[in-house]
Amino acid sequence: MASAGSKTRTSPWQAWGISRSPWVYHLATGTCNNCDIELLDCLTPRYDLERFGIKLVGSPRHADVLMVTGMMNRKCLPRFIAVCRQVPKPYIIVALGACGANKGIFHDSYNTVGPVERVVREIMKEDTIVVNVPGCPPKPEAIILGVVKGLKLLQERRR
Amino acid sequence: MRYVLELVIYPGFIFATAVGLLTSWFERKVSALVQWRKGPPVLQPLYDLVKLAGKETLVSERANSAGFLLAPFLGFAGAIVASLILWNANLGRSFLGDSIVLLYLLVLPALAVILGGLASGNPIAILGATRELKLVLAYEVPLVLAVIVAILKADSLLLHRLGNTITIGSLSGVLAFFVALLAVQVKLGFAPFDIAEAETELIAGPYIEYSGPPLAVFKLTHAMLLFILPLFLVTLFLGGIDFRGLGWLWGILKYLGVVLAIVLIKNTNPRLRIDQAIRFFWRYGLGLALLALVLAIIGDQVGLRWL
Amino acid sequence: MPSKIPIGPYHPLQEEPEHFILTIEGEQVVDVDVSIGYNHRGIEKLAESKTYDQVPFLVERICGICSMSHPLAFSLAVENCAGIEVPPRANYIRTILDEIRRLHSHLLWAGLAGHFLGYNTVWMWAWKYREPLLELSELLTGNRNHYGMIKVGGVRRDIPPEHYPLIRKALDELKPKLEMLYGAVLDDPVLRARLEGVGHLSREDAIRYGVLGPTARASGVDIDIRRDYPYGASDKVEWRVITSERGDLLARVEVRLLECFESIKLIEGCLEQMEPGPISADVPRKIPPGEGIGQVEAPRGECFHYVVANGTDKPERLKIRAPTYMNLPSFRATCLGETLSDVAIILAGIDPCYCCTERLVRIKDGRGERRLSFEDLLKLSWEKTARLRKEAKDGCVE
Repeated sequence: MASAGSKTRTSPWQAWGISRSPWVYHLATGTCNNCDIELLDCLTPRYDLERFGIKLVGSPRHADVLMVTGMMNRKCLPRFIAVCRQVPKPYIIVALGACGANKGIFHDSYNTVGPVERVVREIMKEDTIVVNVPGCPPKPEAIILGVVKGLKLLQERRR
Repeated sequence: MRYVLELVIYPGFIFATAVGLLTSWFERKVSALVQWRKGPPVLQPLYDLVKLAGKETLVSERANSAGFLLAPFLGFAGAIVASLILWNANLGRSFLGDSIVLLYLLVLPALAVILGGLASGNPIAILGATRELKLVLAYEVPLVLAVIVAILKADSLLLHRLGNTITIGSLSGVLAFFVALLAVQVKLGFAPFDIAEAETELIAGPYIEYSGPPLAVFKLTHAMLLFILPLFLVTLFLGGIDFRGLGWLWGILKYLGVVLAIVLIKNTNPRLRIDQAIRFFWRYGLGLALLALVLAIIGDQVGLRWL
Repeated sequence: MPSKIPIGPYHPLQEEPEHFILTIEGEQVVDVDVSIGYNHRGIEKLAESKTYDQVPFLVERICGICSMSHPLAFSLAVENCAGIEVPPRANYIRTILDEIRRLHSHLLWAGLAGHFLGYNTVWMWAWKYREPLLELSELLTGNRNHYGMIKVGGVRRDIPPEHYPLIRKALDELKPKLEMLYGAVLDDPVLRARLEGVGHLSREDAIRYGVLGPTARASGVDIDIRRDYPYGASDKVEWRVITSERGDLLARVEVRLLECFESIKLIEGCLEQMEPGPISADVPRKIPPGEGIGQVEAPRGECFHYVVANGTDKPERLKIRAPTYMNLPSFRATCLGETLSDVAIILAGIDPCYCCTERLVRIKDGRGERRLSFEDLLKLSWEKTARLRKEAKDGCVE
């Protein structure tokens, strides 16, 4: 999509702002709940992501980072696309867990439409940054690392 | 020119924003400490604002876009003028009836939230706006009664004179302060009265459709309210901030103490139901405020300062 | 004028996508409708293509919170089908891990319930106390959440004796914190105001809807698979089933928090009685034809697996019924007439686990045009039965 392509040109201060206060919206698309819990776990005292300004928000309109978990179920697909369209740009997507990265153990399921990155690239045809965090479930440290890497990519992408 | 400078830099927009953002950080830090966490860095509220300013503004198809986009600025304007009046009063510059004007100005942010929520055309936002409206109806009367107690004690409508009277030194003053503190808690949208935003029920309530700069304005207004409302309590009930000598240090301590009380109430209470909140204010809030008023009048007539 | 408020599919109230449509008048909820399928992953079908050694890993990923119960129930079902005797030490290890999982799940729920009420301090504190349990799991099994410990006929890894004191120490440290949490929740007047008398489910309704687990026990229904149909080592250790007669949300909180103490008792008892020995029985690669059931008391209630074996190394059919499937419909009894704020916490009050529940799929006819309703399916079933009968009869004649 041409408009999406032009929108992804992020100015330095936009990328800087997002890297300083990434607000996370969490989206489960056919999960076993575990990545979701580990994500919440990141906010609790042991890991405390608020140190880096990361906050969980309830409305996609407030989000900068979409945390997508699960193997992208057929019923969730249109909802996922709708949510992506509601997020103000620029934003990044983090696909959590083995399911989000490559469908994981549900690879052969009849109800999956593929990993998150494939959906974003081939079905939505957008070049939003997608970071895959493998693991079943990924440890909170890995989740933090995934977000950090995504934000770095966003800063590098500025032109 | 002086007025413009006053409005924009000190003690208007920039000053109030800076103090408000610092207070906002203080609030988040204390919350984090209560919850065994480390908490965000000092400039975190500012980062949030910069980030939001750089995001896209989305307006939903069902929204009334003019109302939707103008509403944040209504509350913002109210907050700026309120901070101006309040700070000037503490500096000794006051005009007749400014306490009444202040009360009106402090309703504007709530009105802005209601307008914005209703204009956004989202059923959840509308529900949040109606809840906010109910809350305004619930807490305004007790708050005004509590302010009247302070006015009776100071025997003046001037905020400056109010600021020089330590209302809390009397029994009625303590009761009125307590009622006003709870009303401030609602105005700030903190637990147990965060019913309008109610993250786990209404997602973000009236703010649900806002994104980017308009949301930043709402956040900014909230940060400024976090500066204005505790200062309002300090001025009305705790004797204000005295700028002679080391008085300002004592004033800051009073201010931080009030903020701390607000944050601790926020972090040790679950959210009330809307009917419980209204019942609470109309029964206990109004009762306490009326009692304080009666005590204050009696004390005034009989001449007992401690009543 | 009634208006419709959606809760979900994506809503901060739930980690999982689930769509509730609440019809409200003002703040009062007059109707609840639920739309499921956002979490359906086709696990039952997938299980038919995996060997008995692989299926425990698959069913473990039905749910991340009760990830001990599903593989355990599956293994019990296969063992029941093939008549495999599990060595005693494996049984003890199974119970220990199951109870650690229950502790973690109940603490998780307590924290989330606080979060749903806007009481984030309770959330943070409960999850802080839960963290040592996850560490303990990592020590014992190698992973924080999905353990991969259960296999048909036993467990995969032993608990070495030098880990016993570590487990005991973690539990001893947990006890005072649990007591503190219990006191803090039950003594808080505002919390009581929000929980007491809300979402009341009477004993009759609980039986009528067939609710399970802590939800049933909070309504005074005295059921617990660990006692009624013992598995693992739950019949060898002294403990008791917690029930409450009140049936409201406060009772559900109380039952869950008190159950944590019973879980600690169970683990400690197991550690005391455990003796060295083998941890796994010999299991044939191909399970002889037959059927078996496995029941496990998951943190949310009875988790039930039914396995049909056909003599190969893969199950012919696996049917799973998770506790939330039974608990979910009780919303109709508890939610109607309550306010929206209360419904949010009532929905969370049964500790719903939608990813456990989603075993359904919409069935369309061959061309994918028409959705088959209950009557259609009934008719298809009758037709097939009639055909089979006819074939059987014809076969007899020949």
